[in-house]
Amino acid sequence: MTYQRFERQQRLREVGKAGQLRLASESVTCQSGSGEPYARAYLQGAGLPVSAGSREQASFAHASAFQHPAALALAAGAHDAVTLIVARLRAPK
Amino acid sequence: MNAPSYQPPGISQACVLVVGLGGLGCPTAMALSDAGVGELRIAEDDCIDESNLHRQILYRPEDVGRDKLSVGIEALRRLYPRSLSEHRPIASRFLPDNALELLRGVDLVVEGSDNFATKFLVADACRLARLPVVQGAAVRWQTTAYCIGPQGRPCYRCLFEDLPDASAAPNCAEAGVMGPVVGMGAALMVDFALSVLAGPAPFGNLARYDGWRDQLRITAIGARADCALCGAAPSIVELSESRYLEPVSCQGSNACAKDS
Repeated sequence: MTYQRFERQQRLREVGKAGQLRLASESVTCQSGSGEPYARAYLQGAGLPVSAGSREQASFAHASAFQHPAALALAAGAHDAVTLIVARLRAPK
Repeated sequence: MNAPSYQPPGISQACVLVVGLGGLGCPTAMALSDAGVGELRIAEDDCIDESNLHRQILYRPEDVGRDKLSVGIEALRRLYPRSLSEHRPIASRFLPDNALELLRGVDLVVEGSDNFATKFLVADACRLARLPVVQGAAVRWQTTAYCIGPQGRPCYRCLFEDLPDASAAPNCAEAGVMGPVVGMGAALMVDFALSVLAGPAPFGNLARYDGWRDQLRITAIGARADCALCGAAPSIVELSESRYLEPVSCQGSNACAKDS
């Protein structure tokens, strides 16, 4: 893994070099369901190790904003990844 | 807002032009393939850079250096083997001199390009061709998507009057962007796009998502009376090349990944 790979997110004030190391520190599991492939792709992209299994599907807070299953799947997966990343960055050190 | 004459073409019959296969374009093309949009024409002329990988989820580390269009279309066909979508590559940028030709036969344009010049050009061209358009952008933890109807009012220029100065516009190469936030932007674009194709169309809607705060807001775009594109006396009536010059600091292909 090179610096280039995560450069665009490491520039974020909330991430930085320390945040990038924390993101990579421990593996996560994705939420099961139609959004899972998207969540997996984004978490791997962000440098989080993703385990093979999945977590039980939780309710998605923004589901009512989406009318179409294909858009909802993408939204649910991307949102799962955002939530896991933000939680890890916000967690007390 | 919703033109009474607008007839949704239907998802499986529609031809959609996707401008840009980057951070917004990759997941957008994936979800539109998943939904079975009849024909997806994809316009892209860039190559895959290592710094694209965290958000441009059709590409893998071994694809770095190859062209986005052929790798992306291969990946779409591999990921959605049962999709009814036909994927048609267009190995070109969307430019003033080919814009109207690229819009021929298209029912809807979905734009997730990486630069303001293309965003304004797509907005202007769709208004002149009376085509609906869904556009998106993302930077840092924020993403935005908007849906403009075929009558083109309210329009993109009601929101952002003209190309910004190089100093004023943040771009992701400088400001950074969180990958899955771009995915949320694409999901909002896809939902708008599928609603345009299936009806009822959400013309004039603007969606904004902040991933750090986890806030999603969908509002109506306010039309500006003196808008240069869709106002009472519009000054933009053709696609003159000089109107779409990117600020100097943003030129270059992969050096500038502003909104993707």
